[in-house]
Amino acid sequence: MPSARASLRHVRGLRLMADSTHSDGSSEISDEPYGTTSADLAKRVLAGDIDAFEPLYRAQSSVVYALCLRMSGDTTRATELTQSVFVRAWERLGSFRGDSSFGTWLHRLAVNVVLENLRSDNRRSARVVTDADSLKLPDAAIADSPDERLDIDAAISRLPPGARVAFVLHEIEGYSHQEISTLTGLATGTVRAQVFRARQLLIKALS
Amino acid sequence: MTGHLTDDQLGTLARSGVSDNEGERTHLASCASCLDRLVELERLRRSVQATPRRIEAPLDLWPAIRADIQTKVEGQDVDRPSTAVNSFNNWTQRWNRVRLAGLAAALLLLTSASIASFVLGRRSGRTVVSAAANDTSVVTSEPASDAEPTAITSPDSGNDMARTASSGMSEVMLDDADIHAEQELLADLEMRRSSLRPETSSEIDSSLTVINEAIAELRAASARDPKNATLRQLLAASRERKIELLRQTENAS
Amino acid sequence: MSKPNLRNYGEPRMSVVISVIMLAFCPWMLATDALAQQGTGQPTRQSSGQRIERRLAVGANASVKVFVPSGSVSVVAWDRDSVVVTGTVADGETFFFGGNRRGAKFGVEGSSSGESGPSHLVIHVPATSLVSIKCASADINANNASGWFYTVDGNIRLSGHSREVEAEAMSGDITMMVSTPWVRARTGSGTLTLGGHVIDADASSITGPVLISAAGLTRGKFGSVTGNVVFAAALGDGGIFDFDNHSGVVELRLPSATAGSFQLTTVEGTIDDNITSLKPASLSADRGQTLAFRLGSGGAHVTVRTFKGTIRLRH
Repeated sequence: MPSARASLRHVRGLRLMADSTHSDGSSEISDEPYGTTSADLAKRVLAGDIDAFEPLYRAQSSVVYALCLRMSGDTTRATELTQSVFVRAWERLGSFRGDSSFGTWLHRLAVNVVLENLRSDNRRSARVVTDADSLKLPDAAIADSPDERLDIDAAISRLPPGARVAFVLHEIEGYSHQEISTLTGLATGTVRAQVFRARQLLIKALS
Repeated sequence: MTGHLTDDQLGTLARSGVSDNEGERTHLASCASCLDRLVELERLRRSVQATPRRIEAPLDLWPAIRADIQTKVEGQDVDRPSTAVNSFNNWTQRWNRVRLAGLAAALLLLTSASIASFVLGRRSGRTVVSAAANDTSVVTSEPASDAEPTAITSPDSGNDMARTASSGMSEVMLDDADIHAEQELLADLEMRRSSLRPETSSEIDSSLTVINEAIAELRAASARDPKNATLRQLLAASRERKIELLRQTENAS
Repeated sequence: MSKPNLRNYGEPRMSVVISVIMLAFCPWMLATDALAQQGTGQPTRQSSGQRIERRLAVGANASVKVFVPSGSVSVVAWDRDSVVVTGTVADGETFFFGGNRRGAKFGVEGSSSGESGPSHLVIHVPATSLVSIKCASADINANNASGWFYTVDGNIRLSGHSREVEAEAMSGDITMMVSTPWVRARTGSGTLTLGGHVIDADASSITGPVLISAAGLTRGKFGSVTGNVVFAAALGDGGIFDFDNHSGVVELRLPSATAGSFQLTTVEGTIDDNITSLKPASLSADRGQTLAFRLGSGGAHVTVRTFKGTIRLRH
């Protein structure tokens, strides 16, 4: 956990000069004054400079939000989850070694945070809701999106929660069935079944 | 006659576009059903690949994230899910309400807390700085274990060391919400008391007595040492444990 | 092939057949109401004193809610999309059962006198379902089940692989030997034992001991008010562990290769350190101690706070 000393030094003048995007969507902040790679920024955050975390947030927030939105199917929840992810990332920054890209490290952490919170949501609804239809899906997360190209995202948001999580992790985020099984605690066979179910529903929805 | 290709096989083919397996190729050449399925999966795959990897959040979350981090830096861990928080449906909603209440009272509390810390600091003859100075005694000891432990010498390295009176303001903000929850739950418990089995009622009272005694000791210690962040954190933990216990009793009748 | 000669063989046999049918039909008539409603979502009422057996086809992610005041509940997760309940219901109690594909809700209604005789149920649930078990004095045993397990003064024993586990008891013991990503457990005066393989655990008591030996932990929050907390497990790399106690002991029994940063503070107690030979600093003029140190590089971040409980470090 970063040091308790909080510097008041402002780094708001620090903006992305170049954003080299990796194939996985993550970015390394490069060509910055003062040699500010992700590892450098992380060191400064760990030394107590909270504002050094902002460029890390700016570089990754849209990737993290996209993940949270697709896995939760709800914009409000996705906003909360994104906030939780970055606060957790700050807490765990000491374990970022710099041997992988910050985006990769953050992505894995984000998946764990989202799954934890989705489990927590399921527990609350399982205990409180007795008669409500548990398969009743939230309204399309991006029904109001101005971008009409996002039919697939709307369809994904309408999937049953288990199928949505499995599909997003497998088909979009690229996790194997075994990896998803480890992350979620579900049997590999169940993960396969969920991915199959999601594919069926999406093919039907898009046809 | 071979069976149809599994969804896994077809999914892999949709991703890779070509099969190394002659059996699969032979089957696809002759099975319209599997071929149709493959076409569907390929179309789905293309739709998925066309989705953007980045989606901008509807609002800038940095101010809220920074505020959460700042609070943690000051040693107030509010990001802790608990059944007590669940009684307000969502810990984020609770924290937002608490923050709004705190902002309203911020100026008055900061002023009074600053005066109090100045007066108490002078009276006790001990300041936060000297507590950090005591930490230097750890440095002089020679570690003997194989792992060669090293003392953390920065006076700010621990969350519990250097604190200012203003951080007490955060606990005041939390207290309001906790007090309200506690009172509601206690009132609810008394209403249900007659429906509890005697042994259950006795167990609840016994546990409440233990917690209340602990809270009383912590409050007394806090009054003697108001700048002690550890005391505030322990007090918050005991209060949270009490609220959790009261929530548990809802299921006991 | 000629038809059987019913006049020669069937008439006397037919009367026997009809009698048998009538005799066999009687119990079915008596149980018509229950059987007709089985699996259709209508609640059924079963008179007490009998063995019960109910089955319901449910979806894979069904929610299963159970209430048994006294006796025992055994939950076994299986690889089928159905819920099966068998067992005995105590005299004077009423068994209720209802549900549909989305979930099942069943159990034993408590008697109006408030004192319930013991009922013993064995429940098979889909492995992917989430159960909510609520008991008063009944013991709960569950294997490979996920969900919420609550008893007031019964004991809870959980084992196997679960997606998540939440266990609460007021005075009963909670023993978990589970493999799960997430556990939350609370007990009052009972003993709380956590073993197996857990990634994220939150366990605490009021006065009972808390004993943690689970492998795989990377996030842990453990505490008590007056009970002793004993942690005898590895600290996952990059993990965050918080311990708090008012007057009970917090003892960390760590593997010799442990790495991490440790922040230990007791307001009025003492730190008993057999791992390092560092001398704790006094927190104030005459009481309390604090010790902050790092073992190796990287590792976990550990915070321990007590009011007057001893903080003990052992290998």
